[in-house]
Amino acid sequence: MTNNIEIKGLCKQYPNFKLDNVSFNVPAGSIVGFVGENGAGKTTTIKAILDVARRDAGTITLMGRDNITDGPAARQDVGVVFDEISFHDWLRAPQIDKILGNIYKNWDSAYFFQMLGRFGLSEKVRKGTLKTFSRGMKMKLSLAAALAHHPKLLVLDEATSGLDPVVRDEILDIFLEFIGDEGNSILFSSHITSDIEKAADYLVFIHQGRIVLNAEKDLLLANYGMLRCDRATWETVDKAHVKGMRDTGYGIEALIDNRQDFRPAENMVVDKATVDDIMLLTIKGV
Amino acid sequence: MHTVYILYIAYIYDIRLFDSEALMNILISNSDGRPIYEQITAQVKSQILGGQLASGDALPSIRALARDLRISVITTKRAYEDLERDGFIETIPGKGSFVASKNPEFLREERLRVAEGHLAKAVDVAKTSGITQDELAELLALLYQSEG
Amino acid sequence: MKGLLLKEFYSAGAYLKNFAIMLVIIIFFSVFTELGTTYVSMMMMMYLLVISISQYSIDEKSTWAPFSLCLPVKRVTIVGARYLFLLLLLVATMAFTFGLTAIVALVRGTEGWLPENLGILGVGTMLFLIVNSIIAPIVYKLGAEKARYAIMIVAMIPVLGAVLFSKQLTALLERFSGLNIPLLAAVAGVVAVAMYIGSMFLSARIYETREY
Repeated sequence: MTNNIEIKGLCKQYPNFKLDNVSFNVPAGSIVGFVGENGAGKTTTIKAILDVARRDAGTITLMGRDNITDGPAARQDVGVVFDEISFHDWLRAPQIDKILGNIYKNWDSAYFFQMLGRFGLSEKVRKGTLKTFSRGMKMKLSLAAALAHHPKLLVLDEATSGLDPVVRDEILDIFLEFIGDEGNSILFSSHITSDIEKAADYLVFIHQGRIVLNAEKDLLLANYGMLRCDRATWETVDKAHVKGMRDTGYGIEALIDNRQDFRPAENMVVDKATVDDIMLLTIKGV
Repeated sequence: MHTVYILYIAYIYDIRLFDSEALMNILISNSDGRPIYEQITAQVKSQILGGQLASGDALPSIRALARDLRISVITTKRAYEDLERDGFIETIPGKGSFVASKNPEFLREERLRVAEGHLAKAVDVAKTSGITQDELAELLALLYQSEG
Repeated sequence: MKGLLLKEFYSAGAYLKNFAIMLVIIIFFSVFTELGTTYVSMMMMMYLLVISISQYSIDEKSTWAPFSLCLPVKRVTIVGARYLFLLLLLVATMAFTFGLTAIVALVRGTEGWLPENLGILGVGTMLFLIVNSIIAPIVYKLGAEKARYAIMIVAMIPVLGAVLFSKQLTALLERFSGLNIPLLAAVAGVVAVAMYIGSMFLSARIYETREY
């Protein structure tokens, strides 16, 4: 199993924040959902991966290449989408095509415009500058540009924020199509946990600069559960499988990791846990 | 004459001419507490046993299935692995996965044997802990009701 | 490099258009007044500086700056493309200005316009190269916004000086006409170009550790 991204012991220090020994992989053929609250370190990690910000310690390889010493070569196979469109408002799609076409070796002009057509942007492309594009259209264009050089790795940082569900669904479809080639991977960070719930194969959860959870998403959702009961009953619960809890004021809400095997006693309910639940209660801790 | 030639070639090269991809019905339920891969294996098994899927029918690739159902590839892979382990499908490298060429009756018997094995263990536990047969039967009834 | 250069030209877009129009207007304006080539040269240099600084600030306002670092290019290439773009723009502008003022001078039948024009445009070119060599590293270090005001002041000094003292400058040039002007000009030119190239490597070094 090859990894398209391998991060080992990534450390980066800022005045008020640091990435502390971050390690995780993005295997080929998979979608890794990268979650965490604002300020937890998602964007910092992604910047370190792309060498927009230089790491202090640790190693990062992209498709086997060191992301610093071999950066330019490695990035030929990487497509990037940020949360704001990266092109100036007064540029036009054909200009972007020419710019990137002379930068990426594998740039596929026909595919770029085909993608734009598929996104319903052909008219816009013909007529105007990016200024006339809505936010969703700009994002689609950025995505088309990121895919047009047939990369092996797609990195998105909060790229779907501020988009309506219809557009997000279209984008999800594109992701799944991209992953159809098992040499390709996607790393996408998002605080829209429903997107992560739908799309990801793996979930990596970062909190205050540290990786707190890294697991297969479906296994996580299958095994984690939300236990709810009153305070008295809570005393009788075996805490070995409790990953986090909080007192709601009306009772106890706890995250357990053995939902499939857990036999709730009386006065207890066990439900599925959403990614949000898992995030919130893992942070709260036991 | 031409048709005969084509059929002959197909026979030689084992090209499946009249294979359409199996029309599987997979419904993943949110309210089902079981892991998704279990839901898939359960539904595929029952369709094979029920005859809706016939021996030799081609299954979609794990990636195609993941994409269509919009679930993780890891899950479809796990489902197919379990199905293969239990003898319901076979995967031929380079070609894909197909419903195993055993008839449903035979498969059903195998499944019965597996269930019997599990029940034997339960009976064992019951006997050594003073649980009566009636109590066990009650548990059995409860379990049949609760699972999706 | 080509892709990045294209980006420089496309993103300068509207600025370039306005610049071309302004250039033509200024040249004709200078024809009907006595301001002469010096005025044109200095106005043009100022506008080139505006374009130069704007290129940095528009990159930072859109997220192009961090995005460009994600491209399969070395940081030194990104910096090089900017320097090359400004150089090409400078040369094109100077050539165009020279051509236009030459035509005007020929039509008018002005005497001795060639050395004067060449001299002034040459000085303008060198000044631009030198000023840019100084401000570019500052911008790469501080970012466009922080550097903007300091730079405006620094850049204005030679420009204002040249405009205010253009008469004295021309007189100075005439006094030097006895000396080996071509040699002096060549040496000064080489120095200016060397500074420009040196500045590029300095900027590239600074940019290597810049983060967004």
